[in-house]
Amino acid sequence: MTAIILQAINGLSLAALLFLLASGFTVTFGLMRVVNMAYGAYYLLGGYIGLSVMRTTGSFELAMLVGSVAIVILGFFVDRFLIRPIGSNHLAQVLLTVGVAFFIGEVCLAIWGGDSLKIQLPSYLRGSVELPGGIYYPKLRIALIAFGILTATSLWLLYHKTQIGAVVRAGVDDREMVNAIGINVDRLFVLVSAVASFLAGIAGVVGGAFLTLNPGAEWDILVLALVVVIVGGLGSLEGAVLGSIVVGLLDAYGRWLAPDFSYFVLFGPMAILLLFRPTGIFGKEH
Amino acid sequence: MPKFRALMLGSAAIALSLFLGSTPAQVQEKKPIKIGLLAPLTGPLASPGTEMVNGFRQYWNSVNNTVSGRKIEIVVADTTCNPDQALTQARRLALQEKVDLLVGPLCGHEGPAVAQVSAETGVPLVMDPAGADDVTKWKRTPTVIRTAVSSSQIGHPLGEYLYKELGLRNVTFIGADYTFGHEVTLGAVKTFTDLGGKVDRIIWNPVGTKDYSTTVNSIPANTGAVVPIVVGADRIRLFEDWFNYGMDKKHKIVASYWLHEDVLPQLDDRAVGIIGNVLHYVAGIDTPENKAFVDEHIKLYKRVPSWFAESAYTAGLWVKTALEKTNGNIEDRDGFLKAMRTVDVKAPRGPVKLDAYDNPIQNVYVSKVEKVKHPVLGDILMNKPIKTYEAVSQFWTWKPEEFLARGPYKR
Repeated sequence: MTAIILQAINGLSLAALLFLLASGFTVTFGLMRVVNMAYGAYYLLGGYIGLSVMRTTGSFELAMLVGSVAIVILGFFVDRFLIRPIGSNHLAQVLLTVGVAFFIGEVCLAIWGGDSLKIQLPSYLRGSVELPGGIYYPKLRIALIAFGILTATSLWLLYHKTQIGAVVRAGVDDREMVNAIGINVDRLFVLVSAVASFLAGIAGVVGGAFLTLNPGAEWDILVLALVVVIVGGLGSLEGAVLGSIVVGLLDAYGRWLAPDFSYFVLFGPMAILLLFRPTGIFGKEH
Repeated sequence: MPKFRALMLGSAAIALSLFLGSTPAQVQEKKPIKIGLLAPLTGPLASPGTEMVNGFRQYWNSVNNTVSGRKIEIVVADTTCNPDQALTQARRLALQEKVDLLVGPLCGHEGPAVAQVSAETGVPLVMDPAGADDVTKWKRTPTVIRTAVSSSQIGHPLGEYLYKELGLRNVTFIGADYTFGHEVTLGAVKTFTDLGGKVDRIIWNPVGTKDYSTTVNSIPANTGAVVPIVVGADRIRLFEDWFNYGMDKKHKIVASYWLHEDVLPQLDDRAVGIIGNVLHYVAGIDTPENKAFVDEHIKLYKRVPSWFAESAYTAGLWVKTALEKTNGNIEDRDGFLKAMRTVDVKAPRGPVKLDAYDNPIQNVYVSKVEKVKHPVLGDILMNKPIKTYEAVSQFWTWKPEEFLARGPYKR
């Protein structure tokens, strides 16, 4: 019984990290139909920048801030000067952003080298708490789950309870109509994209402490984020929440109960789901 | 790095011009020897790939890039740890660059691809450090010899160590789920269970597993010890989760392949005292050859060499020793290969020589992480041997025919 609960918490902590990355990906796609495969690289670069900040200043909060703001700036330039000129050609977008991801990956390799690096945690997040029954649980993971819940709640409130959120939702449903009533969807997209980049940067710094940073980590995490987005449904915030939890739990239980089939446990259900619901759980027809 | 390279080139040029000035006739009649080095310089294994190139250059620079009056030219090609790329690059080196010798590749699955090029073109291949058992057992190529290690060669002594030295009777393995991991893990399982030990569980994890919480919480409660075989970034993740979940208070850990020199700077004092590796090389080996190698490496690259650097260094040393015997005549391929097969080499890792199946017979060290003070790097963690298995063959104590008849280690 303890093991079942323990593995559930493990799954949820990974889910929280995946959510940070997947929520941005899914909403930018929903709004602008932009497929940005560079989010994995944003994650990695944000993490590395956070690592350098942490090493020089020793402040984890500052590392999260600088790492994510740097990615917001980078994301803006990539959107404005690379993605926008090629229009709505999805194939070109994928190729372009994969190229951007490779480029960022190589720059990271040149600056930070190929070793696996870990962001040192501040003392209050280090170690574990002892739960009743002699179970040790790492503080970082508890904090991560709390942070994931906080982010999901804030995004949900922003999305459903504010005017900006209403406009974004309208834009997801019918972009031309929103444009026609005088709202500049392009400008709105800059804002949404900034939020997405911000979350990717934060995910990188948190992930750097949680999972380590190394060349290739950008693709590992991107694949999982894509599964989250596809399972949850492209463009849906609720889908990203549910998708992250499903992927996190499948990963944890799968590797606990059937470690030999851990990839199948993750991708098998996804394939079956797509057979019956090609748009994912919460996805709409586009 | 570029500065350093320019400096080396500059000093090499000066050395060359001095040399030319004194004995022009000698140098002109002898063509340089071209060595193609295949290593991943980009992608997930860029770090060990770079160490490999550094170790190889370190050796040749230490002997002025010269053997028997012939200059050595090194051409490096990036394999990206991808068999297709390794094949293309090996062909380019052999056919376009016209190298006399190939050294590499790093990744196990690149090994057979590069061996194929050696078989096609006849260019000798010194396989280092790709470990696939096949290469020196069931799928041998006459022009290919290995100077590093076969995967299961480091697994066999571990099984015996667990049973005999530590008195363990039931253990749990955490294995990396790909060829190298299978061969090391199952090699250890074989010797351990042959002695009468019981395996409680083998937890296989794909390389690049993000989260080790599930793994450490799947360890059977009453297991005698946990034996990890993990690679890459997984090594740090396992380290963190091991302590975060209080496993250090519940279980004993005896690693087969885990805490190498390249990850030690990312760890902390919690690592001290752990048996972190059972391997054919660790930086803390106490011999004059190794001390000289490690000190020079730290001076040049500001980091403690792991087995990848030592392996490439020894590949260079081995090639030089063989070439000296044949008077630098690399064009006589059979003569060169014969020399490679017969010389005794005193490497940093200890004495090495090839068996009849072209795999080194060498020591395997059980090592413990210790904290030491280094004059250049300060307080650092270091792997120190605590038990040495001398002159270990890839066939362990079995007869080669018996081992070969049994077939490869496969899940």
